[in-house]
Amino acid sequence: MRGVMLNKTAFARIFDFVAGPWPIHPIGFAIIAGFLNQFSGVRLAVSHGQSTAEAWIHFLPSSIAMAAILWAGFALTSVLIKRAPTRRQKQATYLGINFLISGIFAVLFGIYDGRPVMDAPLNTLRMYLVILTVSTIFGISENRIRRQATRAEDALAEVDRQRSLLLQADEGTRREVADFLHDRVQAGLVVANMQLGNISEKLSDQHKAELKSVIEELEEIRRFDVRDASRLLSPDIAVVGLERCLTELSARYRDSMNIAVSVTLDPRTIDTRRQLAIYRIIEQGILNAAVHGHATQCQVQVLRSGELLEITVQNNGRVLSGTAISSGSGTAVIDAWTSQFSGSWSLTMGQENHVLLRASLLSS
Amino acid sequence: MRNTRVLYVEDDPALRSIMSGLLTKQDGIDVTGQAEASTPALELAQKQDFDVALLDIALGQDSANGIELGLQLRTIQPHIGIVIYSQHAQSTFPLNMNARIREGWSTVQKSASIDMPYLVEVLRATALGLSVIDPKLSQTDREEPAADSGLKDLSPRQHKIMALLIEGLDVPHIATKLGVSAVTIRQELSRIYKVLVPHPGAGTDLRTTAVLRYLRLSRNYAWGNAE
Repeated sequence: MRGVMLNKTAFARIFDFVAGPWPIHPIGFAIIAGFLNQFSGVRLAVSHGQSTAEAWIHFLPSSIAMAAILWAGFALTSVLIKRAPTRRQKQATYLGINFLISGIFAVLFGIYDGRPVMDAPLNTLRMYLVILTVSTIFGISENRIRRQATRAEDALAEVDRQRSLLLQADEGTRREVADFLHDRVQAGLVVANMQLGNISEKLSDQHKAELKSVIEELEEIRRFDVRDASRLLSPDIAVVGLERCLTELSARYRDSMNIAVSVTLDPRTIDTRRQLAIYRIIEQGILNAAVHGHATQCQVQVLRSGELLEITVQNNGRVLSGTAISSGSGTAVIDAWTSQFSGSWSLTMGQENHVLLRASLLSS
Repeated sequence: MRNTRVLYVEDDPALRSIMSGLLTKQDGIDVTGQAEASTPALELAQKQDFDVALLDIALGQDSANGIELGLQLRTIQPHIGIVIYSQHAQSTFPLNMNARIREGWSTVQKSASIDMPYLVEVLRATALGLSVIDPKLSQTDREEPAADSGLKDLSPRQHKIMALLIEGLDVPHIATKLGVSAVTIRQELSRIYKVLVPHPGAGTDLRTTAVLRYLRLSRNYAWGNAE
């Protein structure tokens, strides 16, 4: 009983292997069959003394007809297989229609070639076996390629996921350090300065004045340097807004480059993370313009175009070479942020030989 | 007249202690509630009435920020005044609020040299429904020469004088080192002070301020060159 069960399972497996249904490639089959017919016919004719050119011209119509018939037949098979609702029905269609095609083809070819009618069943079988064998070989190869493609796609998705996590971790760390500077360090300096102020009350006028200068200097460092360092690490977009953060970013480069910032959309309609993406992309664009391009003029524009948020950073610096783009030009950062929001980016020469960084992100 | 009842919310315990101590010393002010974060502040507001809340803007990761807390406090006590006490140079945020909410919202710059009578006035005015925006908040940059221009305006001899001043030498010693008279050094120092401390405040020690600014301007943060 167990042996019978095993045999049944083995038979089912073999049947499934043969019946597939394997993918049908009408064009591929048609071309291969057409060429095989052409070459075999030409070879036979040449061996009977016909010239090669004449043989090619003689067999060409039949080869084309064969290819056309097979293409039509396999296309029909492919459509019917797709329409069949269950796997078994698909297999039945695959085996049945292929057999039908083989039969029709064998009969038509026999009539055309003047062969005896009795040869038709054997030729049908031959044709059928060839079709099934070629389909299976194609199918196995295709499955293997598909598996490898799936594996590659999975790996790519994993890389994207890891990149997204790295980006989040990087932003998280930046935010933590920025908050520490902005809250703890600043509060600590305020307290220390207040204590110094209290101490100075007990000193002579001269020492009081000296200590006042020191307190003022510490206050300047707290108000501006600590704040700038904090915002350099992580812009406070949620509190101060995107436009202001971009203005502060451009102010960092005022000694070397004129930067005009234009934000022609309402940032309140975009979530903070997208605003951060816009900021980081522009930050890299400006950095490239200053450090790699040695630009003196730069225009930044952010606008909404339908479902897309369009970012352009145009500057008059020199173009980045292939080496410069790959080494430290922040393209990985731009790439990571754009891919986070199903976007794209490009770095090209714009009008008047200006370098143009263009990036777009999905707005929601 | 009854004292103004203040709810003070600040996440830094040292600063909270010092500021509440200073506020308590002021006439007409009672710090009747203190909290380190939004949740205890809201709990206090459920239990007792306040005229005004003095709120730090950043209250830690597990807390709502000062602006959010202010809005939440208004839902519990609709007439409470809100004073945001922060180092955020964000003077315009009350202007973004609708007119009804904006009444009784003020902002004051967090500073070690806070003028307590000024803060008291702001607290009282805000409790009455007025809005005050500290003019210091609109100052986003230093009122002093840029690094390049400040240092470029000094002559090589003035740079040498500053280097010796930083070492702690006095005028006669600098004069001896450079082989010039003390009067010349004083004249040079006067010129240096005009460049480095163009707008000295009352009681500012020019020498100390000039040395500190010279040291700061000599540092190069190179924001634009970092990668």
